[in-house]
Amino acid sequence: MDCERIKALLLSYMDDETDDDERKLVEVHLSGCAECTAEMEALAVTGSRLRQAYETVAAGVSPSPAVWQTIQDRVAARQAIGESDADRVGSRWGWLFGWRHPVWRTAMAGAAMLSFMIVFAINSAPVSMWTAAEQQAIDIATNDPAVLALLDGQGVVYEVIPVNGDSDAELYQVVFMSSHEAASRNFGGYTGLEINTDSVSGEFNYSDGADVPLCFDALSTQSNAIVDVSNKAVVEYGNYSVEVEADCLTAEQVQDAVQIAKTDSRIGDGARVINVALLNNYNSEQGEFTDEMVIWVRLSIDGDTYFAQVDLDEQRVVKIVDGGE
Amino acid sequence: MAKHIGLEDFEKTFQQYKDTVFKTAYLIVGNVQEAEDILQEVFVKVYEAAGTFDPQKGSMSTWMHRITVNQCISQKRKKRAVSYSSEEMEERGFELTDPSDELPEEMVIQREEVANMWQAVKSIDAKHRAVLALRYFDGLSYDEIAQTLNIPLGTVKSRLNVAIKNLRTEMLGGL
Repeated sequence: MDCERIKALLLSYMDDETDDDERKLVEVHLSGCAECTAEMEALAVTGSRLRQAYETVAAGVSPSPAVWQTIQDRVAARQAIGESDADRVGSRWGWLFGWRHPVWRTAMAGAAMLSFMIVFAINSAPVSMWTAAEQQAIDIATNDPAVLALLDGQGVVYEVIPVNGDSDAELYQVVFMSSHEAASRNFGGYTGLEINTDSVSGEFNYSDGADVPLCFDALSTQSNAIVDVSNKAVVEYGNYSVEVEADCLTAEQVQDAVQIAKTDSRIGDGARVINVALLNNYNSEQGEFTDEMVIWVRLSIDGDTYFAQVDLDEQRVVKIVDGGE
Repeated sequence: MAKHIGLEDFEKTFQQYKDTVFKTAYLIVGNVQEAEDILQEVFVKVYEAAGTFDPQKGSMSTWMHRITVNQCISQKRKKRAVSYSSEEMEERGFELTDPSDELPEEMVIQREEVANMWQAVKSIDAKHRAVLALRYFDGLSYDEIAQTLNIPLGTVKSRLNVAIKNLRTEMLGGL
């Protein structure tokens, strides 16, 4: 019996998770093998240290007292949505898609290659993309002379990421995507960051949208500002270059998706299209996002937001989920 | 219409499992704020999906662990989609101190061994961190881990072996 096979069984053996045959095999081998006996002792030490580390680390953390109230508020809101719209959309899985921001996938190809694969068309009406604190971070960043100089009149806020970790500081990373000529064209004339506006939605309007869709097809520079919201200050800022490949929807695909969604009997003509996006699909059974990219039409119906997943090949709405905030 | 759990039962369930969910999540994602977000998501899901829970198919504990681990992994995926590592940010000129890389502030860990082990745990991927946390923190059996993650027993064994091997490699590398 070779040692490698025995070593592969040692952990199960120590955890009493082997069958009788395996146990006998290991015990016979260990009686005559110093190397595997030492390996087992080393595994025992690692396991013991790991348990100790987990106990120590876990003992030092606990959820905030406010979390129960937050959960109650959220389920109350979900219930209200479910009760008012159950007949129309009937989805109880909307919580899965309570996205405040477009969900997009960044794939690493090679060591430094970044591929950005989401583009979304934004309606000119204010879109509640950001929380109050995130909006405050945007406002602080876009009022900072150094950040403005960095952006040089170009750039679109496309993500705000909390970076405060475990600390009490309210730090946010405001990420700007510079829009060079190609991207600007796809932005339908929305070429610069609009300072001090209530949203970052710009002038683009889907219903007038000859320029749909937005498509970052060759972006090369990102600008970042780290904002301390508590102290209303930009802590850090800088540019970095990325190589980008885009996976975009064509204008025809967007128009087609909207048409399919609006002609679905569950949705109807009264729906207002907020945006169309290529997003990661969600496997509700596995409870996780998949690598499959699917088309979602985000809609506002009587003031509530819904996502309709559209299959262009089958020319149908696959499913409708409520859209959270 | 989903069959919701009653509020009183919901609160009892929350009180019973909140620490398990939160701490397990923390040990997988390594960040207090993320763990709290996961705690929220898990219990919103519990509330929404309580009507689908079938005790014949597994215990409430297994169900909770499953939702928690799934949420941890999808949360990490989303985070990966919108964020960059501190190393990447520093390469780009930011002097970022990511407190999530530190042990919880309220803890004063003087035992270097524990700190080193925790750093080693955080260096391995989420799937392997999940099996480690379920086994070495929550004390689940291999069968329970298999049910929780909906993976074969053999996969549990191989993931644990790989995870422990990686931990030892990291620990040796840190010496």
